[in-house]
Amino acid sequence: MRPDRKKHYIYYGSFCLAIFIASIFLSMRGTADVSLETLSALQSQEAEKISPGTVFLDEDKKIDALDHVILHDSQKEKTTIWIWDFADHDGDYVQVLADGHPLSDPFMIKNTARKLSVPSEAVIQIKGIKDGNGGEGITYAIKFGANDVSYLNSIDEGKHSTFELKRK
Amino acid sequence: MKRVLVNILSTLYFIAVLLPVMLLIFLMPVFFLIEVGSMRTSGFIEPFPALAIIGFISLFIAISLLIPFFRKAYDVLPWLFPFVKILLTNTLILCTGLAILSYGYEEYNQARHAEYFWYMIAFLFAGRLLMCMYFKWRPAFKASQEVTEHEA
Repeated sequence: MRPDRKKHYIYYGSFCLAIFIASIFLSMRGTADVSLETLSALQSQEAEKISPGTVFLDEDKKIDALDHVILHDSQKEKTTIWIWDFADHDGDYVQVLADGHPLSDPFMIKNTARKLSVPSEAVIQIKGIKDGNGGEGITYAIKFGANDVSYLNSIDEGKHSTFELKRK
Repeated sequence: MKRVLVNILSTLYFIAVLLPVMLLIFLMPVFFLIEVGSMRTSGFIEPFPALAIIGFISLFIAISLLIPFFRKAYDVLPWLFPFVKILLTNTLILCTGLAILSYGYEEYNQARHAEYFWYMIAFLFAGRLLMCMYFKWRPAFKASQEVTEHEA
């Protein structure tokens, strides 16, 4: 083999190797947190003081669809919520409504939390728009800034889950 | 004996790995069109393992170019190197275009969908234009051509 041809092969081969390494870095995402706290949170479907975006499971798992009444002592007019996919990021879509009014267009939930501002006293509904690849329903976690608690929940397409925010 | 073994290994790698990789990158425009069509029809992202595909294709091509006895395929088939170079670049452009469209489809909003669809079209056009300019400046077949000229 001539050296000029070999040089081209090695240059392009190294370029391909660089693409491979870059693709590994780009596709890396957080692995599931398997601490005792997260395991108990999975059973109770509630967790205090966890960071928005915490991944609890590597794969989707059917959990109960629950509604909650949230009592808090925040005096502010608005509070923050974070919503994310706590399991496999598989293309689930939801829409957030406050007192029946949409707060945004339907959006895809990912492992990275999406932040929204909602009234401190309102009925927050999470509407299931599309179940992605998992087929286990739409699984999501929602954290309320008002009481610093995260709730793990699931909904089916077209259904709602409800969180009623009330001051104590 | 060693030469025969090297030839067998090289041929096996070509048939079992390089041929499927070439088929995949050759058919990538079809997969791309199916994926875009399905997103445009449903309005939702259909998860497509673009990064995994690019990663594995690049790895197998890198192995075939960096390990000396796997390079034999490129010597026997002079068209193979430019073929791989052009189609891998094309695959990178298509997958980046798909990533742009997917970003737009993260929200269900027709205006946003249309906006990102046109961003994707603009990116594909610019990407292909740059690719053509690059390969005109540095022809993909240069490596093979140089040898042919030398040998002649």
